[in-house]
Amino acid sequence: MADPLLSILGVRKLFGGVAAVCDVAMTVAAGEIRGLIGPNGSGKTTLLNLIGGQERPDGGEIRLDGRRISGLPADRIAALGVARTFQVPRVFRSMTVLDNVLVPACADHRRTAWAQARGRAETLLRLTRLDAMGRMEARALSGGQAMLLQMARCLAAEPLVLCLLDEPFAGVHPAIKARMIETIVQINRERGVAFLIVSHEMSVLGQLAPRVSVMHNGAWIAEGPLADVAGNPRVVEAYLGRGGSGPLSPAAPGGV
Amino acid sequence: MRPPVLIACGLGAAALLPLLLGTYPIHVLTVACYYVILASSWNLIAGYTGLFSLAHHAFAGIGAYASALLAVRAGAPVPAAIVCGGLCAGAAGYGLGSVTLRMRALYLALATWAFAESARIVVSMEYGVTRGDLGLAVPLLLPTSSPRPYYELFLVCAAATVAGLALLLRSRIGYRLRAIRDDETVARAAGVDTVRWKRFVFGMSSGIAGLAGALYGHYVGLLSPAAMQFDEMALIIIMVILGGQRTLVGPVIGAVVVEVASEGLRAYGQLRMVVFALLVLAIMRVYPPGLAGLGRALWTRLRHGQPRRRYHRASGPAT
Ligand SMILES: Nc1ncnc2c1ncn2[C@@H]1O[C@H](COP(=O)(O)OP(=O)(O)OP(=O)(O)O)[C@@H](O)[C@H]1O
Ligand SMILES: [Mg+2]
Repeated sequence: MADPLLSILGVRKLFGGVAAVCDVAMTVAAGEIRGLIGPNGSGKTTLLNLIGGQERPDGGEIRLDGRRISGLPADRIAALGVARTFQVPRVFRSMTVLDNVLVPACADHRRTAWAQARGRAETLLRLTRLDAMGRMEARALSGGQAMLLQMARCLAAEPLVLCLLDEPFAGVHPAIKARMIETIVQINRERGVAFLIVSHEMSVLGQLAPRVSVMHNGAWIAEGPLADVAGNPRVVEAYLGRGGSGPLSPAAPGGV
Repeated sequence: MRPPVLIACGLGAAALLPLLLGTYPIHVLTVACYYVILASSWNLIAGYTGLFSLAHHAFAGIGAYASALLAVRAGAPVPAAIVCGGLCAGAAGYGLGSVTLRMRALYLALATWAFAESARIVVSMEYGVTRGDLGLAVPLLLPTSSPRPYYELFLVCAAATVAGLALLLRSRIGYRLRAIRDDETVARAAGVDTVRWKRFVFGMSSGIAGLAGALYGHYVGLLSPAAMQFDEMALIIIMVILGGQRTLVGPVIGAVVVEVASEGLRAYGQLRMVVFALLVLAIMRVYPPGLAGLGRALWTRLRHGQPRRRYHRASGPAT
């Protein structure tokens, strides 16, 4: 494998003495699409927060392209090309849908010409089928639409080397979901952007991500192609408790 | 009519008003222009950026005293003193913004209020320097007793402030500020250096307030710590809420309406504040877009026969 784009080296995060993320070590290669799965409360969102700089690790180190990013403010991490969405969609509610996608073009590190940024934002809105709502206030969007808007905003970032998507398909219509998958694959191919995707939808991850990582109780427990990981006894135990059987086959409930 | 034409007509009419009005009404309009500057600059920090500072009146006071003291004690020429007053207030605002960076809504309001009260108390107590409640006589800016040149000056300053804010808000800086207001974490994740821009907006709005305060001091010729009482801040809030926050015209309308009305109702004394306060409560409860929103709704109704865009309430359903 090539040099890792993202290296997470023994990272730990405590909340009131309880470890939400506990000595996780993993790497993501440049241009890779990686799935991140695990039961509820296993620390997936917290791990994304640590990578994106929304939280500071209590131990360990995170590197991007060999450069330490843990401890940097989130806007500096964004300037290095890390963008993200949130599990509960977060949009700039009083701004228009189009303006939401233009905010990344107003980042302090950006020097993009405005007309170019605008054209790009409009393309992204067409891609997410939000173009008809460009002039509406974002607070008027439905939950699924807000999810799409987040995604468009995330992809409007520049430079962009790594997208952190936290359950991007939750509550999204299957047709739109297919379009999102298409978009992710396209951006990944064309621009070599790596994706780290948290999702409970195994069938989608099976389609998108050649490899997935599994977390349980804040710890990294397995990694590999979804089919292999699904048969791993530790993973089975994490999902079903001792004595369970095969929860993660792509055809299992919870998929599409 | 297109907005630029409308604005030009409004300004032209305002500039011609002195031909029709007597000395006292012109004075009232001059003061209204002063409040237009304060209300608009507070709208920048509180309305557009979401930093509910309660120290705006104190920055006007700091600008006024800094300028007056420079002119009185150091013999600085008045225009230079005014500029320095604005810079002092801007620096103080930048400092306060830096200290309160991590504070959220209520804590920010409390901290800025505490700052404002401390500033007022210092000004009253240091009577050796400021002459405290006795009041500080301040040299006038213009060598005239006629209110008209002052009115024209304040009108130009108010128009320049609003125009400057309009440009600022349309720029990338405006996007950053609105993004910070809506969701600071997401703004940061999108690459906006929120620390830098929060400090900037504190310094900028306080600097404008300081300039206005300094200008005002050299117009009325007498300063006292009374101008730094919380009543003044309440008045600014009332103007912005009544006129319509997060619009450019809102604070302009609010400042003129409130200032003119409170002169008209002078006979009722403190009761005026009660009326205004109730009005603000009613507006926040029933129609947050304020007078500016009302005007816009009427305008579209007149032009199109029905409201074009529905107004969305500030609080939406929980996600
Ligand atoms: N800010 C916080 N304060 C206290 N505890 C927290 C905080 N954030 C997360 N936790 C705890 O850390 C653990 C991991 O939470 P996290 O949100 O990372 O899980 P997750 O894997 O994303 O779960 P889900 O699949 O439900 O989204 C949980 O037990 C949670 O209660
Ligand atoms: Mg989560």
